[in-house]
Amino acid sequence: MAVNHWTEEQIQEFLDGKSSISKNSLEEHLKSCEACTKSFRYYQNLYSELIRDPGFKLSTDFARNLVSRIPQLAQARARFKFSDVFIGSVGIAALLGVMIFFIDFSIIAETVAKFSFSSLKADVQDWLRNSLSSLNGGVLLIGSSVLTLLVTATLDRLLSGPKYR
Amino acid sequence: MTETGKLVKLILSGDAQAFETLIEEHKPLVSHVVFRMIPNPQDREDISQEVFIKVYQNLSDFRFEAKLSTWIAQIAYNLAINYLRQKKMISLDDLELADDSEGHLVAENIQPDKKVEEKDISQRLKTEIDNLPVQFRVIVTLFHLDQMSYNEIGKILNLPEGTVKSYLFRARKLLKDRLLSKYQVEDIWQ
Repeated sequence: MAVNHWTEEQIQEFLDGKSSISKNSLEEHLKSCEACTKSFRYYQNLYSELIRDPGFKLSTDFARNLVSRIPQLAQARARFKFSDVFIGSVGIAALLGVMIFFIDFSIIAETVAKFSFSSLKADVQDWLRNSLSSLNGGVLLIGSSVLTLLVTATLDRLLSGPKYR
Repeated sequence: MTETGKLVKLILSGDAQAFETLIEEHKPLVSHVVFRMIPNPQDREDISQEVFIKVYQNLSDFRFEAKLSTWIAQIAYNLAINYLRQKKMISLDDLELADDSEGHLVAENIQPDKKVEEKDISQRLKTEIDNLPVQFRVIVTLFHLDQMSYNEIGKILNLPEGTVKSYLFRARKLLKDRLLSKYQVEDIWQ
């Protein structure tokens, strides 16, 4: 008769306490199966070795030494925050500069003066078309896109915090 | 507020004693990750210090979405990975284990060694853990020494839970097979 041995994965799951198979059915099987008993014991021994203290020791005054550096750390923390704000501000200023330089404000002023709800859609379309055509070629368009990405990334960094990747 | 929440609040208000408490509580976890990953004993202490410096500098960004221990272990793992990359001790292949890597790992170092005494097994196991791929080492350590769940380990290593489980099973099978074939420990483990 063919014997259904436990797989090594099933044995590990059982020892991890994550198996759906009951302890009784395991014990029943082990009574009659030498191969599974051997495998089970090997893993049992391995598990008891793996939880032994590996003796990884940091120096005894490790915590005290670090705490004595707190004033320096606090200063570094303040500098870190300042640099974030500084980078963000520069990014936003650069983007605004590009927008102010390339957008034709006379068209906006004209549009505002002629504003009426009925012609809003057409006005917006005209304005977009004129504004985009006033950009001097694709290079400038790409440049402003890159700046937009820079600002977005900076804002993400400021708002979401460091991710340690 | 939880104990962790109170501790974090105290540290942020500048309480040095609270930071010392945090270091003492998490020193074993950080040493487990760093010592398992960094082969050079001189650099281990420096990297562990760097971990707690990062923790201190970025504690205000900790959002309590994960356990504090998970967050600290994640910092330790990422700093250690960066160190290994800088020293060219790790490549992308080491982090993205191919399906056939297990076969390669089993095939190497399979020459039987002399029989070992029971007291030697811990040392042999330590050597064999050091021979595992870096992610296997960290997963085995966090699961067995720090009793972390698949989910927590996944957050630390940035891996899906299923991958953590699969790597853990493969790592333990490798360790068992190597100890049996290389050191003939079956007499002791009967």
